Amino acid sequence: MWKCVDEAVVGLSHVKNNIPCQDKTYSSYKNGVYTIALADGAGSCKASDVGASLVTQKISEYLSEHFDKFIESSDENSVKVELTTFLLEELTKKANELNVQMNDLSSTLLFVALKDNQYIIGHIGDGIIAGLDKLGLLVFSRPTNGEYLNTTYFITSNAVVDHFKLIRSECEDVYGFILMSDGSAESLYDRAKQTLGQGCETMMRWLVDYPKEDVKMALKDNLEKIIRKKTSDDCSIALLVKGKDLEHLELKKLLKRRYEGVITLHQLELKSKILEIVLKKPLPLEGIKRYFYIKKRVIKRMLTELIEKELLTVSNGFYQIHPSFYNDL
Amino acid sequence: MAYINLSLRDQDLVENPTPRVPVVLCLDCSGSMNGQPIEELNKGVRLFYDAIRNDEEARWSAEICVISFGGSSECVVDFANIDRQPVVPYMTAQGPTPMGEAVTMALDLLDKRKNEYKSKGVDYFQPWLVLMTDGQPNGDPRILESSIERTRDLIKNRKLTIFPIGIGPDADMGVLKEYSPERTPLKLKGLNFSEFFIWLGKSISEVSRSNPGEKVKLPKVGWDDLN
Repeated sequence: MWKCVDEAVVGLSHVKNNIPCQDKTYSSYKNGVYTIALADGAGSCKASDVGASLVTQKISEYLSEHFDKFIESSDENSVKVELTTFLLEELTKKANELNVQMNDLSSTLLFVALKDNQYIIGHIGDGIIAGLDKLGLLVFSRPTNGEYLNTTYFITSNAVVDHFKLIRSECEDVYGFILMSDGSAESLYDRAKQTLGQGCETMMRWLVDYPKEDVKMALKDNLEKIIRKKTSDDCSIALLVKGKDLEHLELKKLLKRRYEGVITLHQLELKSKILEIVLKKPLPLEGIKRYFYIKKRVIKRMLTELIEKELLTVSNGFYQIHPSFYNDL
Repeated sequence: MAYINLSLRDQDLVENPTPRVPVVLCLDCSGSMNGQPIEELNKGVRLFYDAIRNDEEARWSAEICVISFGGSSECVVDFANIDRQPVVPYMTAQGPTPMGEAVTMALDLLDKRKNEYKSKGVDYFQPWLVLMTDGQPNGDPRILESSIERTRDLIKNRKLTIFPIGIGPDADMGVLKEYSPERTPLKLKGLNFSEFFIWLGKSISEVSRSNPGEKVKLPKVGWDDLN
């Protein structure tokens, strides 16, 4: 089971000039796919905050729908072309809606999508994508800038596919991913040594050990009070970490809380086992029934009850964990 | 939900050097600048240094190199942060106008400085070259031609911004135009060096504050002769 959290704060120069935060972040869990995305709107573009918000959301949705196709494709370039074409079409629609030029919505883009044991990483522009594996912190993707600090590539740049980094692999020994905008990287990435600050691991471990709502608050606090102080730019971070596998006992505690104590011991045992099974991967009714020696209709009834309690959802016949489940962790 | 205090410590963070703005002042100090022109030029340069020193962003990011050309071309001060240039450069006027040689020296020093930045992981903004002359270049014509070609190439590839400024009625605006295919050379209003260098200081400050993707909005020009 993985956990994700994201946050962005406006830079001090933007506060001074009354400009909205142009860093946008997004995270989701849908169709068994976890995604985190981050985009930094181009400073001089009047609606780049809108563009950044749009691309983070749309890329997450698209990856959730088509993850299997993209991970299995043998043609990396066609994956890049499809993703950029999709995003540019969405940006065009938004530009028409707002009566602006598409370039006014320019932003960078960083994302990680993860399903089962595989991940897809994508990067256009500046910012850093890093991770934590059994050997420690590692950089997956560095900024792709022009020679000068105030130049970088955007989704709307010419020949964007040539500057689009795509990585597809398995996460056997990867425990976490972090996306950071260039503003945050000022405090968390040593440009001379090209190494990551220890704070990257610190924040990932927070998300492992604490409820995500607490970590989201802490992230915002640290971005505002510490990270933002080292730059005039907007600062943003998104985290995706492997949560602790929930012990059976913890699942029972969670169920008792959701049922406010009104649940029989037998039901508690069966339902916590159902959750444990579905946490590993989404399954149809037949797949879940295999783990039990009870009638199918009884399993079906319990699944329905778990859906009513917003612990499970069902999509295309597959039962999976409800997004609000993670709020209790 | 009880608030849990999760805070990054100093040892969790890294220190990165301030991004630099390299600025080369390539200044005509030939014999024709003798008298009031060179005095006003020196005064303007002093104001420029003061402006940079007093700006909290530009102070740490601007790196200034001053090259004079009068008789021979000379590097008066090589690139350094303003804190390492406590003495403001002072120019004297003499001799002919080896403009090509001076610009070549400026570009060589700029290349050297950029390589130093790269080797130390220091980010930098697009460099600025300020070229000021009150007459016609009369150094080696081949060196002049190659310096023009090299400058134009850098500008075309977005590797350099040039501000070509003519001083007085005898300034060769044609040769300044050859150096600057995109930006029209301007003529200084009288000997208004002070106003120009104050404007330059403010402009550098704007660049220091800019972020990726931002178009830098330079202050309004008021030091040029619109006629």
